[in-house]
Amino acid sequence: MLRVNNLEAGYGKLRVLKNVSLHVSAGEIVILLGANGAGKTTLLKAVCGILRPHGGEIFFEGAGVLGAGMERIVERGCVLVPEGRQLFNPMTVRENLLLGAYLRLRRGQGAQVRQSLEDVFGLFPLLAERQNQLAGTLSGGEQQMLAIGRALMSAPKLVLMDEPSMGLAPLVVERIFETVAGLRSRGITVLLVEQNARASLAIARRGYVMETGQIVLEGSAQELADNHDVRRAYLGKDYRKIEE
Amino acid sequence: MILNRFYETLTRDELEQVQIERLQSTLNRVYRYVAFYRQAFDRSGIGLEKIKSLNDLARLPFTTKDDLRKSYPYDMFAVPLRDIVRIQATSGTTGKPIIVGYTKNDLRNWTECTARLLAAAEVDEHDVVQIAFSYSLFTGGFGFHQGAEKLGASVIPASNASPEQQILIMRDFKTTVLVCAPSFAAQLSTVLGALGLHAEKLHLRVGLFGAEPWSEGLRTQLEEGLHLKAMDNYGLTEIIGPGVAGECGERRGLHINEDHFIVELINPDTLQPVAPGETGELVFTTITKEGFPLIRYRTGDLSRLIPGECPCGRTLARMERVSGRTDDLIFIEGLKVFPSQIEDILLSCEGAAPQFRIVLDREGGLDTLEVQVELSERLPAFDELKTLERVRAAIARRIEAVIGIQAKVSLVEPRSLGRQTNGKARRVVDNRQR
Repeated sequence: MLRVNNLEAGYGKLRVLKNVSLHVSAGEIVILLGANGAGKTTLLKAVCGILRPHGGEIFFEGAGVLGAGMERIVERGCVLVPEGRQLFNPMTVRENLLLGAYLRLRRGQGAQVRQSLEDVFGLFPLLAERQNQLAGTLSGGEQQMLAIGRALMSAPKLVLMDEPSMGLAPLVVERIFETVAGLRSRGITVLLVEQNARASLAIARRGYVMETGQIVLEGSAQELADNHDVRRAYLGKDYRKIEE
Repeated sequence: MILNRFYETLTRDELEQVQIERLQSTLNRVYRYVAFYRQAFDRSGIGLEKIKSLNDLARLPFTTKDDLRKSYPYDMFAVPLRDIVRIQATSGTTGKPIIVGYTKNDLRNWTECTARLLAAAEVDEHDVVQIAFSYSLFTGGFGFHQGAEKLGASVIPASNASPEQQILIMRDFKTTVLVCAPSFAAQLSTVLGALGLHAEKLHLRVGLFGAEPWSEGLRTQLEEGLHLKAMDNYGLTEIIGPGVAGECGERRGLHINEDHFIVELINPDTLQPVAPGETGELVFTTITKEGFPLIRYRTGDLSRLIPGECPCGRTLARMERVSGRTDDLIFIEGLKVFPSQIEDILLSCEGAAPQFRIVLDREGGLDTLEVQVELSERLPAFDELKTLERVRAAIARRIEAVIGIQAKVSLVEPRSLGRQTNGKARRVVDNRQR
């Protein structure tokens, strides 16, 4: 579904991504692990067209999308749930959701959009209750649900998620991850960037580990969970320091 | 049966995506964690960001057996020892052996690889698998043991029990699958006759034979002698052990587990890739190993890739059975011996000139090794029988001590061994029917 080859990207003279290759097959949940500054967010931005890469190739469903406008990429069915939610705070929940379907509404798909709205409300009944409330007044967990709901309003095939668990209480995180895992049954593929390795490895099939702009490990969720570097860095399994 | 339908039947395009991703991540890891590779890549002047496709792999330097010897014991490990859960080694008959380490994930992948070979030979949970490879630093025993257990078979770690014991186990435990070296299987077949037993009294169905080169002729002989379907497999300790490649039911080539190992074939003289379908030296790059990853490891084994699709459905490339070596390595009863090792021994024994000939033969299913040594005229009183006997015995003892095989040593007249036009004696005469 998504194939990234030898991607090079950065900001100005700063090279962040160095020769990054990865792929996500239809129906998979793939996790991208990495410390702060490893380049995870940069990768997602490059894939969804917010950032113009310096080199490499990106294919979405076989078509090259490197350098395509972000609205074209959304139209093809690839959408980002950005880090920190990035909601339109002064607008209502309902308005936020409808903005997620902006392109579809412009194309006169009103009926289908109404169906999507019902689906999102079905997925997050809380949002239905609060549809007229301003987005900025929601709790962190509700805001994250809204951000995911807004992405789903574009009827995506692939959802890129940037740290959906950030700043949320453990119980809420659990609820969010249940939702993410549930997207698979709706035929939606997920590329998930996370620091919460434990929760995300539990729902992912495969994953990659990034360090300083490079992929240093690819493997099944089980392999990543058993890798000592991953355990030390992301699962909080520490070892007594051994003289080496 | 195809054990891992997902990875064993990927399209070439999908497989190459998996390979390039795993290759790039492996390169990033070895550059960070293995000094040898950091220096080798820096010296070659090729930045890793230039490795953008599988073809670019050819721009990186090779790793040789010599490099690995120099890294003894742990210098090529890419993880600290606390992350290693298993250590194995090559036999290392001369000098230092090569030590390899496996992380938990490496063991799982190794298990998967040998399980794939066993599954391809139609081994399943109903089988009783007798493993007659030694359980030691040598990878053969443990490698297949893990794979057979994964499939749920009943595994008998018969290890290095004598041929007679192996046959009794085989008969009484109702062994259906035999895993060993082909030369040992030949020996079992001979001993079976000597014990007055017939293969019909056994329950053997399949044999997986590997760890040394063998031939179609021996395959027919083993199938008739042991009443089983003989399957070839290929592997080497440095890469992972057994499980690098193995035959499927079609028996037209050995499928390489390409989602774990990238194969290249090179001309051993020019070091350039050979044309598709031509014979060359097998070169492997490991792309999933954590503990002991190797980039472009030269195996010294000659083979070729078989073009076209395999009717079995696997899309993994097939290699022909190994047809020879780039060097003069000799396989005797599962042991690996270089003629240069014999030469070293002779040089260390007083009175023997380093002119010699190795004659290999097979008697009663057993490989025999004879070393014919020219006498040196410099030896004081070299024509005295007593002296000669002392020299002969000393050489024989030394060969057994160093190589671990009983050799027949015979002394011959100075300059009696025929020379080739280049002045060198023909070192190895192999009279064994392979």
